[in-house]
Amino acid sequence: MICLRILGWAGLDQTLRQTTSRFGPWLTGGLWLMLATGILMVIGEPVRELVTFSFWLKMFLVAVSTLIAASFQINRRKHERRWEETLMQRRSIQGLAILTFLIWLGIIILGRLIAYDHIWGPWSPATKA
Amino acid sequence: MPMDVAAILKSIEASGLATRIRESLFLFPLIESTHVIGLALVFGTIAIIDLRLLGMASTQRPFTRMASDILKWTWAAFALTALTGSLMFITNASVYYHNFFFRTKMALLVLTGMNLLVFERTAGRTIHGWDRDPSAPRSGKTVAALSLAIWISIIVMGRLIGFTTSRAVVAPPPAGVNFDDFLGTPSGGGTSATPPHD
Repeated sequence: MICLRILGWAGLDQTLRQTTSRFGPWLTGGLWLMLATGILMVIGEPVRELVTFSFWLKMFLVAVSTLIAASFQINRRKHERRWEETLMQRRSIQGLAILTFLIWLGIIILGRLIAYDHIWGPWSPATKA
Repeated sequence: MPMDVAAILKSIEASGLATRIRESLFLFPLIESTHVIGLALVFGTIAIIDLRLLGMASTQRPFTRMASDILKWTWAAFALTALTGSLMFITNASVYYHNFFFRTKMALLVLTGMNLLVFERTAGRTIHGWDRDPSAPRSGKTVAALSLAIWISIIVMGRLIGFTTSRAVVAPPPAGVNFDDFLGTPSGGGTSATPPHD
């Protein structure tokens, strides 16, 4: 929803601050929930999770997206007025919103591909086992 | 099962599209991933609406404004899940058709449609009276709570289909092998292995 607001595709009756304060806490809560359940899944089946290319690529993308989200929140709080008036309209910022959305699609796809890691062929450690 | 249903399911499975998806290395995993993306979008957007009806979030925003802003994404995502779900179904139609969790999921989908109909006939009729209120009337709140519960159950059922219809086959361990020996636990405790699943 935050990406859609930056792109001007949803929530146009809301300011960016209103949108982030509405969805930000759910985003953070969701991330903690996924971290906790993810750790439990890794503990439950460490080989199935850790010995896959998909898992490590997913973890890399999660780290990148968390970094983007944290930088965005810090910068938006620091330059609140600039974000509302000019920064949101910048092509580079809108490009970053699309990139963030695509990264999250990638994270979902890779999460599912952990079960099908053989599709990566030689990149998958599972195929070497 | 009547013969004609079995024959229909078999012919669906034997269709060119189903065979192509089944035999491809990439197609089924990619369709399943897209199904998960669609489901995440459906549940996420529905949760935004339901929490507004319950008065738990976005209470300052008029309901109609919010619904027109969000529901188009919900319907687009729902169409995506229906399409990808159908493509997954045709690859193994007779197995899914008999699966308890698949049937429960389909029944819950019908139930969520009926729940939407109840909303239209109750709180939906007086929407302009409570549009700017922080929460919906009691009937709207009940529909919202039910909607969240049904959609969470749909997600759980969807996951359980994957755990009970896996095509993966694990060969039984050779006779005489006791897993407890490898784990260093006293013998006689029985063997256990993680069931195969997607």
